[in-house]
Amino acid sequence: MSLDSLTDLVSNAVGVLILLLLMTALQSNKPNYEPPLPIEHQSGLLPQFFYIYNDRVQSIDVNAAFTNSLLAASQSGNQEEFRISADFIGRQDQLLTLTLSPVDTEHWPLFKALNDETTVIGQRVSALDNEKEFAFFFVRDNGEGAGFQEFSKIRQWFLDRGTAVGWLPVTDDNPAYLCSWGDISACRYSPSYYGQRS
Amino acid sequence: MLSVGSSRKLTLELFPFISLFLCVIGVLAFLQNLLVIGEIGASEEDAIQPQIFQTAYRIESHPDRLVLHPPEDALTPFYEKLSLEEQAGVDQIVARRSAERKAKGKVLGFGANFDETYLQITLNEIASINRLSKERGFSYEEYILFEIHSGGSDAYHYLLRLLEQPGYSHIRSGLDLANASTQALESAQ
Repeated sequence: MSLDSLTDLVSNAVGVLILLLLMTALQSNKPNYEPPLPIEHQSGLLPQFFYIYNDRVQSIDVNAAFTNSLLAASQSGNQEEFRISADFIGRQDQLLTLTLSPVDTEHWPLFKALNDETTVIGQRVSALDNEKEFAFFFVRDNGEGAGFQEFSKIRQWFLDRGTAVGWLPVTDDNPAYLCSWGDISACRYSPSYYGQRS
Repeated sequence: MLSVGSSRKLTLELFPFISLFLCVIGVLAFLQNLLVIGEIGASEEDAIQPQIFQTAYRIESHPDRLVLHPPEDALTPFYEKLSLEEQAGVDQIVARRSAERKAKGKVLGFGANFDETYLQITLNEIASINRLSKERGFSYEEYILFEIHSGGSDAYHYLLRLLEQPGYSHIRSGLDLANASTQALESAQ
């Protein structure tokens, strides 16, 4: 007795089932498309801060900023300006708020450094946990559009790696600021895109 | 397996073959059931959360001016459910917006003597539409989408402070680069 027909039947049945399974799996893995509406929303994600100045980008160490702020306040009383790091000068704005001004921006990293883990900013970016954090950018608006163009490129790069992005344009009159966490509306940094919601 | 005995009687032994076959079928069917159940659960969750149609009222922020772009009239589906008094209020808003759209947007010069009265009227309209929509259970919400042109950031910060005033604080806002936001809205529609 030949088993050819039985083998044929069985292999066909198994093949069809495997195909069905694959199709179902592919369909269920298709992500629910959420259009990238640029609307800010509340998020459980914590911001990791960056500053874009023309074609340069730098990360901001919030802990260092507030530590140096306290040190400056304790050392010289009412010192208005103090060095936060090699890249920023800080100014105590209100009790809980610190404004930042960039310095020595010509030495700041370029966009390509984001992808380079040998750089400080590259390490900061690679350590960014998309499940818990998002990238928030202060973008310097000097009226020429260079910072905006760079931000557009960098934002897309972060969105492509699954990181939600928020931003704020800043100027001399409206500088970048950091807040100690409190219920102040200006301190609610929110992602503007539905890159990720939690 | 097929064996030929001494009596030339044919015997069909399907033991490993059928067992394997049934095992494979069972595993595949089980996996498929899991996937289908998961999908049903996800679609039920989606159904529980009502979709709110968020409509952008665009405000372009230039260094020297603001340009207001009211949304297309999206209130028509709800219009019949409103009272006559409410309809009259909505009519006024729709007429004003229609005129603004025909003029390709309302331009407000931004500078030292900026008169924010017109802007406040606009914000009041958005606030009243959102309030009406919420009270009547409509799935409709207007938010302000700021489109920032290079050099227009100070005007944006001014608007942001205006939005923090009582009466406007519930109005949500979005922020984007001038050209990018238009593309995002078009892809969302």
